[in-house]
Amino acid sequence: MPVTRRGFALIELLVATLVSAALVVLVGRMLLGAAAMLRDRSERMGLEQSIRVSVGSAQAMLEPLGVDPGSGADLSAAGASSLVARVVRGSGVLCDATADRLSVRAGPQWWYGLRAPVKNRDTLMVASILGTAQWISAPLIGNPLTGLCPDGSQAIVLPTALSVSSLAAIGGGSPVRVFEPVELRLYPSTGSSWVGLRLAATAEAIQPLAGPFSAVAPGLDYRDLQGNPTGAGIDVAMVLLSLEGLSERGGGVGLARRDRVHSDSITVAVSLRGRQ
Amino acid sequence: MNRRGIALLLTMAVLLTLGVIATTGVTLAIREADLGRTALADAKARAAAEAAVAEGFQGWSRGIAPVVAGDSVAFPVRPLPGAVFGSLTLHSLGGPILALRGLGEAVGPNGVVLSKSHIELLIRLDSAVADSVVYPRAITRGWRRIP
Repeated sequence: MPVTRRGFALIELLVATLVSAALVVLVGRMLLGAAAMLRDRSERMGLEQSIRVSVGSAQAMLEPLGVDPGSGADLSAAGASSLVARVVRGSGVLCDATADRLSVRAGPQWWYGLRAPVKNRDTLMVASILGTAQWISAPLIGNPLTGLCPDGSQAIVLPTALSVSSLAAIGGGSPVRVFEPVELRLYPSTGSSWVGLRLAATAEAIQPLAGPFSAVAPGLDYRDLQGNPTGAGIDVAMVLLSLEGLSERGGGVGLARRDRVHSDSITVAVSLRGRQ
Repeated sequence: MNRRGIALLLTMAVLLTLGVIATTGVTLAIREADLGRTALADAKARAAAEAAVAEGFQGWSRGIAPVVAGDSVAFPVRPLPGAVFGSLTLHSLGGPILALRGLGEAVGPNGVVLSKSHIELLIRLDSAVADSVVYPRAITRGWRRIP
């Protein structure tokens, strides 16, 4: 009786199964490894971005700060995990001044503002054009209006209240700054630390800016003009911000999940350039 | 013999997955390189603007000073190495305080401006010595980055 050769022998099936299983394991490991590596890179990029955003924001906030005998220091509170500073929201040049209003030249070459000035939230500072180099602080008691400069060009009119002596020190050509007190704080959240900003005048809650960072990182430190540590806002000439950024999740997916959290640290020294 | 199977489908699925992973990897690499290039261009532009302003502190001829509000004078600035350019302008604000503005630009290989940095320093010119050159003196709170 002839032997029928249809189908596979048991050994052939076993070999085919083993080869297939080996291929599945190899391809699976390769896929999971590649996915893990990609996620790892993505987490690292997120970590670097958090550091970049924090440092950039701190530089933008701190570099223009200054101090003068007329209006004091822009840095009003200097702590290990937070600072409060008058942050510029707009700047321009005066074309006219009276006891109850300041007229600022309008137009793109004259007025730079992140937003329109807001009464009782912002403070005005006007540079003296007399011999004494100082800035004069003035309240913003009404929202801005439109008007004209004495030479007929467009102006932004800022309602204020100036004393006679202040009015005598300013005039056409005086630079004007619009300030708002802002708090930069490193605050704890879910076992790590975040960098956040808070508008002091509106008493709003802290708004997260970037993170997470290590909760044990040094934070903020201050130096005077000689490089000595100081905590008094009027003496601060340089702010050191130290951060240790953490990735939010470990790299990897599925069986290849790696719970290792990456970290990278930076210490940046920001000179208060508005201080001369 | 029944030759229909899932080998082709499996192969296509694996190849598709590998393709997606490879594409994502290449995209991430390009993005990271772009971020690095942008950061470098920003730093170059900022340095050029700072250098232009610093050069202004070497002083200029007494006759060069705009008076009417809005008038300006552009100063020649030494060229910088690499594809970086800096320029310096003195602006009258209509009073004794003037604005010294430095502009830095980092340019790519095809001439496209990769990054610009514009900074301003408020100055007075009352520190002139008894020669034909005037020297600027920065005033407090006078430094800012112009958007």
